[in-house]
Amino acid sequence: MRPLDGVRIGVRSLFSNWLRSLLSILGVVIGVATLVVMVSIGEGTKQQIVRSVEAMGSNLIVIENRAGGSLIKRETPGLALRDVELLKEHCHLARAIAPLKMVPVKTFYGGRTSLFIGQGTTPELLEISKLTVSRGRFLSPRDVDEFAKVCVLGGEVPGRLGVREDLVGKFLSLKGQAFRVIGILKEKKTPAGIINPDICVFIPISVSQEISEERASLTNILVQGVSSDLVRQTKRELTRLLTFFHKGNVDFGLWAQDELLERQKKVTETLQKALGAIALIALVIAGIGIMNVLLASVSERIREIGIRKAVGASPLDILSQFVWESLLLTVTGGIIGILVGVFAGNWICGLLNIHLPQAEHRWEAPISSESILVSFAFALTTGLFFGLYPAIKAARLDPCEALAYE
Amino acid sequence: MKDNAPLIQLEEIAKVFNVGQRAEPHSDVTAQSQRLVPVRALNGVRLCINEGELLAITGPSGSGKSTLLHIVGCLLRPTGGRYLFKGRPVESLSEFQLARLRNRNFGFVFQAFNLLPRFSALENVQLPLVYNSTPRYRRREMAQKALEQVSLSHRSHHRPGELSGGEQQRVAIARALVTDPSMILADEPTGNLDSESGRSVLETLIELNRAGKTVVIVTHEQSIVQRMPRIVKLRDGEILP
Repeated sequence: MRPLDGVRIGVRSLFSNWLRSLLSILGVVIGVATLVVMVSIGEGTKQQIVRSVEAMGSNLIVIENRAGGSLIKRETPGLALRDVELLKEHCHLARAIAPLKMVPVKTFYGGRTSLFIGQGTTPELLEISKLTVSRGRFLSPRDVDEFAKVCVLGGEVPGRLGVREDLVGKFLSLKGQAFRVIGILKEKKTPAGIINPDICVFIPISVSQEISEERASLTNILVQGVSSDLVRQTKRELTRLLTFFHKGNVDFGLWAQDELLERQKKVTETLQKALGAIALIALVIAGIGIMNVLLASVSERIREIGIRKAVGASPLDILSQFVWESLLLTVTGGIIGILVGVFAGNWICGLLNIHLPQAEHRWEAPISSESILVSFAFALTTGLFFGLYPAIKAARLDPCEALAYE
Repeated sequence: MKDNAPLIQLEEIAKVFNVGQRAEPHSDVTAQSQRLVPVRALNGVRLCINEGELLAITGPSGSGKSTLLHIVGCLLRPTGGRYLFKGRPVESLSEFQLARLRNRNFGFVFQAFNLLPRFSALENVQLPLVYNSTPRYRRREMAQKALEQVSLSHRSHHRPGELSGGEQQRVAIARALVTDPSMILADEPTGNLDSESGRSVLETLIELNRAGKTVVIVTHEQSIVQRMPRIVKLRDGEILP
């Protein structure tokens, strides 16, 4: 039998039971489309994370305070403002350094009380964390030097306070003290380094030390390196210097933005693998569906198989006829599935862009030729694998028994 | 073909069916029916058929007529004995070689016509040509010619359901003829037909024999047997002298 005849016979028998064929194709469509969508959304998420992490600055190094002992009685002093001064003086690989001192602040305005995260810091934070001021201004060196009772609000703070009016120039109460609002930040929607600036209230570092129970110590020091290529060297330099300043006490930890990136990439890759596995399960189920359809088709056509064998069809002819049917089902399903997958991927991204509007980046569903090839190959393998058993069953039928079958 | 060798030569052919194993190929085989009961369908059959012969195989039902025809047509392998086709042993052939042998040398006509219901008469007749890789345009031509031989060229685009029993059987004969085989094997070809159609089908077969084809008809109808120059009588799987 010529291969084209095999295809022709296959098409014909699939059309003669078109509803059943359509339903089994649907299984393949769902499996392949899921695979394409999963891979492309996963890829999109990975890109999204990479971009948002890079937006924070890929050469950002975070120093954590890891002073031992209890909060009340520190065994070592940990990070202090003096460290920032010394680092500024001695670390040549740092472009900008900003201290962070976290103080939870009960905020009172217009009869409403809310709890926010107060961050005592210096003007350098604006550049290091890539923050944008939407109204007013950020902290100035003078504010820090003069212990000015001023604050800059994160983008979501006015909304959370339930205030519609412009708060710049107004006074609000932080920890029972009156602070003048000097600026409001633009909403960022993504965490910047280790803080979520949208829900923070920024105050001068000097003031934060005044209003905190634990005056001297800092929560973090953020360092922006001169170049992202020198992150490793910068880290080494910082460690060396801080260890020296702390007289050998390593009561701090260091991590760089690129490590975070690696970690998050790993998380997405795991996620992608899990999603891929789900899609594969869908394909296996589709394969079982195909096998079911073909088995039914074989049982219905026992007599036909007998007739074909009587007029000279070899077992191989019968086998290839059913394998062709299975391949036709999966190839059709695969092509439709890829189209549906591409369409669905873009649709889901559209939804994400509507519901998670982001100023900086738009979600994209990159369709790689690899993901299409892999999905298609999987569909074909499914067709071959699950089509083979019914085909072998048909090929092995005894012609006389098949002809006598009612 | 070896010179002077008969077309078909059967020597001590035996066929034993293991009933139970053979029951319903697709139904669940229960434990009880799995106990195999050997049934002797043919026993020591010796038969020689020469080129151009017209013969009837007859006998009561269960005598092994159809089994013998199926063995002759290579649809069934005997469990014992020797089968020479044109002087060459058939037993050692593979499934693939047997299929090719059937395709080129035998045309089958069945009691139940055995046409594919979704295919037109013309497509049904083309079926054997699909399996010997005849090009598509040649197939149509050859099938049309075969239908002309059985006087059905005007019905070539009808499906079996749209044809009378006699017409369906003539389509089946055209299908048996299309590869120009050495032999036509007919298993109760008139069994499902009224006497008028039956007569016409029989005439067609006799006509084919006159044109040089070897024709073997399995039947238990006396009216057919009477017209046959050679009669092989079977009883309990053995040929009566």
